[in-house]
Amino acid sequence: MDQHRANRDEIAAYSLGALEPDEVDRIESHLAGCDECREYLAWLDPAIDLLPTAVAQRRPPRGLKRALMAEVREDVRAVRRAEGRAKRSGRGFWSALWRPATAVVASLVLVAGAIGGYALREDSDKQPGSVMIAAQSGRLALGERAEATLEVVGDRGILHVEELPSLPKDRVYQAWIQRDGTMEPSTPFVIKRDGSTEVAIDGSLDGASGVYITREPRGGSEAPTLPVVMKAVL
Amino acid sequence: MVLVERKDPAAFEVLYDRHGGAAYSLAHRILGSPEAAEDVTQEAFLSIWRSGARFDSARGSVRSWTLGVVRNRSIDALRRQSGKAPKLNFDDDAALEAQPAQELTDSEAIRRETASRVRGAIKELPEEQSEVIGLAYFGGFTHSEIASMLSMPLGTVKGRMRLGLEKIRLSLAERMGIGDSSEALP
Repeated sequence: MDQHRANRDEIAAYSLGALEPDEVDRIESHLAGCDECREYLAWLDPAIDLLPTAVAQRRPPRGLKRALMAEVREDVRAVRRAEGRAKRSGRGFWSALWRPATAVVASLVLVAGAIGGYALREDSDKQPGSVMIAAQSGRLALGERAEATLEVVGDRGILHVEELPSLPKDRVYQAWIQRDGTMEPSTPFVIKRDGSTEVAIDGSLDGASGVYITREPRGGSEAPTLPVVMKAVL
Repeated sequence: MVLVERKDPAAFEVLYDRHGGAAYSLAHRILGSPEAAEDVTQEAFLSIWRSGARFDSARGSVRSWTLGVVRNRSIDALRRQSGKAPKLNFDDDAALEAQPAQELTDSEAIRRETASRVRGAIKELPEEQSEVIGLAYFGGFTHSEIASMLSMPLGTVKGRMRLGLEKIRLSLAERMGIGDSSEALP
């Protein structure tokens, strides 16, 4: 049996997503330089593509589309609000330069000593190519409301919050990155009197499925201790 | 997809209308719960809305890509539910498709017919082949995890995956005219 034939078991497992990560790297390297194996993979593709259609076709709940489109429209509104803020601050929304990361870190350090986290300048501009994601409300008390937008730039995130409820002195808000089913602690932060602030999310968002906000004891926590008040699904 | 990438909500709504049902159905099959399927489908479509630029038309159809996103999200969710075994039985599907034919749109009818043919191709497989394919695709298990679960050598698992996929592929060529019905293995 030649090597290409021997690779077919690997390619079939690869097409099903059943290889271990190191095996994926190996077979992708081989595929990149082997027409015969790529042809075999392409031949298998229709079978893989149709596998999901083999399941029972169910009608999704009507509320699903309603909730989905509400989030989509809220994202659009979030972009418009951000554009409005940029215009009011007298700077172009997309054309302004992103401040260097060092400047961000410097501004953060000033606040970090006090709250263990950091806040960004109020008038920070948005980087071209960024994606604005409207956060959903989680567990808020009756009468409380909040708005939050996560700005994603590459694998980094900036949280823009407005009207978050004020906190007692022994509490802070804390951001969390959800990845592979676990909540990774990110930036603790405090808000201004009007409930707003902008916070750089500490940690990469690569592979993350969401960014969450909870109320935590001052200094932050290693794991969430209270319910989620806002979440942005990635 | 170009309009979705330009953040056009109306275009996104069309995308959902076309593929939302299949996406929800796939998530339901993998997760086995309507609530979990709804959550994952919503998350998957939101991720598409927010990162639609990742779609590459050279690598497949919008439908395949969309369902791939849903499948990956579902597998992630499944892995978060510790120890939950995937459903592998395709036999419950007929009972779930009891919606009267007159209520089906043409496209829905075609999709159900497609689903039926694909299920037929899978049912023709020896059980040991459909089992490993189901565990891998709908359960998200790697071949080494499957080998451990079924107490069989790695090579046997991968061999069964290959044989099963090749049979499905050849059967689809016959049943649905995908490619040349006489098309042999390349």
